[in-house]
Amino acid sequence: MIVGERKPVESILAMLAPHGKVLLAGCGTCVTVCLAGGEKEVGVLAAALRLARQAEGKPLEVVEATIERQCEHEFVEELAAKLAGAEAILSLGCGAGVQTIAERYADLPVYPGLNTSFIGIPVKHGDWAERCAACGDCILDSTGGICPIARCSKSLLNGPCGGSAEGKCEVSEDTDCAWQLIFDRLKAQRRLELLAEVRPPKDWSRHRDGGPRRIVREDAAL
Amino acid sequence: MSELTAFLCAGTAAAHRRLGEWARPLGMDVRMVEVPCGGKVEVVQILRALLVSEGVLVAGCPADACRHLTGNVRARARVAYVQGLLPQLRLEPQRVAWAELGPDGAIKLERALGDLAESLSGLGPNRGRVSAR
Repeated sequence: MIVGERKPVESILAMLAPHGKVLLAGCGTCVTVCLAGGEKEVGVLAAALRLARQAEGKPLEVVEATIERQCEHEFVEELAAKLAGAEAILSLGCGAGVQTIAERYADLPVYPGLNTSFIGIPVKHGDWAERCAACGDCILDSTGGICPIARCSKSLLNGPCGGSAEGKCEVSEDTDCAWQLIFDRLKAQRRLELLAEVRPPKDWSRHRDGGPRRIVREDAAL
Repeated sequence: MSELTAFLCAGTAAAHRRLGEWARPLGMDVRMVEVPCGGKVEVVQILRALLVSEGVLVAGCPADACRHLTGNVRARARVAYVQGLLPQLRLEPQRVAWAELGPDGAIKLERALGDLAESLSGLGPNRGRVSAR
């Protein structure tokens, strides 16, 4: 899932300072699961903003709306019914959600309430970790299902650096060395020969280095 | 006159009922909200209670005595979260308090409410409050 975290309330208050009524939009998909921008978080932020603005002597009217997915136009359309009088939209969706709303409601300022952090998983309740860098050219078949691009601090593709010690990364003792994990997994699977294979350089043009990416499937087009 | 909201877990129900007899003599106007367990009290409920009252008390069971195992831990964590959030809203964190109640719950609850009311009296009115209850 896409993992994000709410911006500091002070930052959000600064963005909303010129406005007296806003629509606060939550998203029912990834950011609901990572407890950053779902219906519950919309309720918390709405109450917090009301408290803060009341204390400032500049009351803020907050209309709450959480839709299934902010990254699809058919769901974003549902917000239209709640926009009457709103001077701006504050989105608790990921960057894709914010931009979809901004595209549909182009006459209104649309503000991001979250920082979109990474593609990851919950490793335990309240603790999310990055697992995928969306590099566009997956190599998990050769690394035991452990991504060195997302999980190695240096995104190395040829084994651990000299900073790996006792299975931990030199960048942080809390971070496992991805290449240690890969070695251990492949050894347990008796597939260490994969590490001896010579591979061509990775095609980074399929990652961000190639510019904004787009996938077009004519078979799926209406 | 303080106007407080108190969320009480079911384990404190007896104390809550006894409280009704002495809350007024203490000069406190307290709205009691009974919940099945402290773990049912969400952050949004605490914040919404602050929109209509001067302070909020969340009262649950002592450590290791929660009927639902970890409800008290969750409640305490949520109170701490709100206490951390309030300064960002330019409000005083002392407006929200957590109290652990034991077998002598009524006495502790009385004391916790009294402490909260006294703390609030030094702060002045809740500037974030939007309306009277």
